[in-house]
Amino acid sequence: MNQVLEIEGLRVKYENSDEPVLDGVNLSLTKEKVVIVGPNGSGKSTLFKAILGLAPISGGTVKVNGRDVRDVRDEEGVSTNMAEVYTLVYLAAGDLVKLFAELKGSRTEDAARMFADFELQSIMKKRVHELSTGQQKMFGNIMAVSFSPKLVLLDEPFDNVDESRRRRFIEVLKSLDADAVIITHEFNLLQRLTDWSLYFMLDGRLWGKFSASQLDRLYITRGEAKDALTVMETSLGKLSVTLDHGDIAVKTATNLSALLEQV
Amino acid sequence: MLLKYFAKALLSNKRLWVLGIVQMGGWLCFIAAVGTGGTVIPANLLVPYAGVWYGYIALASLSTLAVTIAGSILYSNASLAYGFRYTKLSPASYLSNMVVSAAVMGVALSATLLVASYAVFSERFGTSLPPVDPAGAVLIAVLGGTFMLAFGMALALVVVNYAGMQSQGFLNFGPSMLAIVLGLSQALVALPTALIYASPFNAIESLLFEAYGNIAPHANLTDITSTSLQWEYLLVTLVAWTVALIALDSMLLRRLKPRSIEEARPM
Repeated sequence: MNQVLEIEGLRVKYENSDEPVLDGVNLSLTKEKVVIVGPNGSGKSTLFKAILGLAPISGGTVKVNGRDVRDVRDEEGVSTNMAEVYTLVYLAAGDLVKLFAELKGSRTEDAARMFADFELQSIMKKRVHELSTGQQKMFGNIMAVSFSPKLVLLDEPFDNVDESRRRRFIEVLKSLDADAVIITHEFNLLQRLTDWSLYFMLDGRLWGKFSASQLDRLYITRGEAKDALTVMETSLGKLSVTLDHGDIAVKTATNLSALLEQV
Repeated sequence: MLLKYFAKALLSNKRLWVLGIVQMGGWLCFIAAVGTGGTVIPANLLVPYAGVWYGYIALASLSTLAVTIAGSILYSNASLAYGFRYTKLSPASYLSNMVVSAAVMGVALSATLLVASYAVFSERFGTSLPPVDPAGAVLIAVLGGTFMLAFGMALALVVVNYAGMQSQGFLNFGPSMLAIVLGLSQALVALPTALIYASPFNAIESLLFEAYGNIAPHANLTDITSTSLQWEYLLVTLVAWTVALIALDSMLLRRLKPRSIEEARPM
């Protein structure tokens, strides 16, 4: 069986940049839900852009259902909440829902029901740029999980989303019958997704995998610990991820940036 | 039925209506008020005279379609790249739907200005000056809209794929500048016939002029003693440019290399 997503040695470097944004990223996904946690600027969104065919791949491979992403066509099962993919035409949100339902070979009703469940029917007559930041995020989130996806890529799905909608969308994600990758800089999300796999992203490299259920037991230690689960080579030097002991408990931080500052 | 979404996006674009109709309607009124410069136009040439300025204004209006489409493609380039991989959208279906949408919008712009030209010049000269061949004008508007789509898309895709977003400034004025310079030149002075026959902009203007006034276009549209032009050659020029640009668009869409719109920031 083909893996839904298979990334090997991925390197992404933009034209005007000296350093690659991603370098040597490996990730494979089969019937799995994954959270990638990393500080701002670590390359998380660029990883999604590479999977979606929106970033220049200068090394390694990204395969979706066994096909190189550069050759992928008609893979309607891959969806995302990234705002730039919903700018195809300048229309109201409701028209975009109908357009993408058609482009995904799906029905509008499921998405419409979910917008209603999240009390977002009122945004359907507005253009996306007229929505609040939180509404824009929820628009992308609902578009990503509607239309029977097989692989869902969610970039910071809870930024500016109120607590009530966060809780309800987490329930949607838990019951989602699809592989999923969430990228976030927040740790508190992990406590609600305990059966998801966990990776850290630092300086354009991916480290793991761990389990989100291990969150309470994970520690970060400066240097190379003997019993480390993983030793991460970062711009701050070597950092070991250890279980049950170490310098700083991961659970004490709200996000990875704060944790790295403490280390 | 993707067409309804693409057509709706163009037909409901307020900026396009303001640039293509309100602004051009204003110019039409200005030209009607001061255009003759005191020269008395014989009664039998009043309809062709209205046709000269209808041809020019409709050409300028159609060029705003190219500007709008180019800007839209720049903004949506990432969505297109995603759509070609992860939805049923293909470069061919996108292009064909955009061609039909642009043709519809071209007719809407051109037909509105046809009516406006009739009203403005009839009022100016105190006699009814209806277009002789409105159906022909609609047909040329279909071709003109399609050409402007193909031209605007080609410019945008060259910027996205090769030149980089910092070069996008040209797209904001390039098509309209070409339309105004070439169109106004032929309306006022005798351009070289080789240039007119090679230029799709002059082909649109000349053919619209002929549809309104029912006389053969000339190297100088306001001077019937200047070299007369063959409408068949002008039509071939317009169709050939359009077909060539659509083929180029198709190739560039298949090789789309998406860029962040943020690259386009001037500062």
